[in-house]
Amino acid sequence: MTSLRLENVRVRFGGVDALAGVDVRIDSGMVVGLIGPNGAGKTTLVNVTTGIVPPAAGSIRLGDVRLDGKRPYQIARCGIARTYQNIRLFGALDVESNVRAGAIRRADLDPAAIGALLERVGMPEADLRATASSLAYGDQRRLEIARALASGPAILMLDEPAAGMNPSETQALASLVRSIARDGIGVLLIEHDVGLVRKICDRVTVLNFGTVLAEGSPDEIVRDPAVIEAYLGTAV
Amino acid sequence: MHELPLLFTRYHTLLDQIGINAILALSLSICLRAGQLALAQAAFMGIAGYVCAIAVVTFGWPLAAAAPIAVGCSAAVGALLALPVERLRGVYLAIATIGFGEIVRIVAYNLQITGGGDGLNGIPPLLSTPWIYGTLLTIGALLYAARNSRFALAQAITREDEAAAAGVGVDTGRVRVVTLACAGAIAGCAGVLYAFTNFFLTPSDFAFGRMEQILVYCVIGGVTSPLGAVLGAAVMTVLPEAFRFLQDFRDVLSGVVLLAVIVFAPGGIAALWRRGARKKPVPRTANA
Repeated sequence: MTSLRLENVRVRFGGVDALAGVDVRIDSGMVVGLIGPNGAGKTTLVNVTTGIVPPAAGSIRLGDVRLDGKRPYQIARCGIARTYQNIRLFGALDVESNVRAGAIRRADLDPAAIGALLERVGMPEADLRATASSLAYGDQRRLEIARALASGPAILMLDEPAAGMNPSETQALASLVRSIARDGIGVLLIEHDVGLVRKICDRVTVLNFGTVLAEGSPDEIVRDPAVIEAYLGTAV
Repeated sequence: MHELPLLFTRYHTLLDQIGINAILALSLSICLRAGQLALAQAAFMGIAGYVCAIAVVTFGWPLAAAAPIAVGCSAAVGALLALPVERLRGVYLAIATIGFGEIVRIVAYNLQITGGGDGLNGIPPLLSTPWIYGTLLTIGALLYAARNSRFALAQAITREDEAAAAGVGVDTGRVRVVTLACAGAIAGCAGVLYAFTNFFLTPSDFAFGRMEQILVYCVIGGVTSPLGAVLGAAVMTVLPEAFRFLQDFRDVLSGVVLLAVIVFAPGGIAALWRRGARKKPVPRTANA
């Protein structure tokens, strides 16, 4: 079993602690939700894990491999894949190339494998020659997940994947995330839809002002008075 | 039928120019595919041209030995140039590489071994039109064979979004180094061919004016299309000759063509034929 472990991770932007000593653990096959108000440090946690911003202190390990200090491409090769809060597809390239790009370090994906990935993320009728930027918003989100899955990750970090999706699309996304976890991939899910988080996450970490406000099962989190006061507003 | 040799005799210099310019356009095209506006092709051409000519003329090396070494030198310079400019993008990279080209030109201007401003004379005419087009075809075939390779995909995604490319495990720094090394090698081939078909080299042969022309070839042809770059080079080499009767105004015509392409076909010649032969949708089937 591979675990991603962030221990006492600090990130400073000038004089501000974006993350002030955060501990998070994601085991393979587990969906961990990461929630909190805007500016709590959720995306910064993904960015520091994937090497986009350096940690000021603390350690990040995937299994026995230390990730902090590595460059983003080296971390990706270790088995961390992600999607972005603001979609970052290779917009001028077609759907097929975007999926192939995900597997660029592993193997050349054959059309059947590309088709299977697209079907899995809910794009069974996708035109492989369509440019990524021409896709509908929901399809762009799904294609980004397909690209991430194509890399064969040990850990998948999804940054607000349900943003802009309608209820039926969100339902399909929930099923997809659970199936990804069943395959043994650890998933970190940043999401504002607390109902979705409660439905599919095994554990939830709540960030507030760069610190862990609470950690526990979804049911424990939604009843936690500190979480209700800082983020939820009312009991869910 | 026997008019063909006559035509060749009359226009072989123009044919040589088209071939060499097409090779230079391919060198820039490979940079633009990776999103690098690296304008050092004229410098790479000059480095290889001088190295090869000096080795043959001054030291008496055979061309077969000097040419690969000269091309290797320009490739190595390309790879080394990629290191200090690693963090530069867009116009900043363009300015830095133009500056590098000026350094090469000024060094050539001030060295004795290059003949200084007077140039290097007496280069034997060891190469000819078939060599130029053989080289162009070989480079074109190699690029065509590599068009669906992982490296070509790495170049394309580096051009599209470097951070996202790194996010899928691509070492974008290495892509830039290899790209500039390839560009150096290709432009180096043009330099060797130029030196041994023109008999004479001066630093002004590799000045900014030539780099500007190479950029125009790629813009006219289509910035990420190798075939477009070749066609752009052909069109923009022939055009000033075809309108020679306009005398000093013929360069105005080239400017008008450039403006027309930018305004009416921003993707260049390549975009026009892509528009004409737009592919039909390829639906994915369950058992594809």
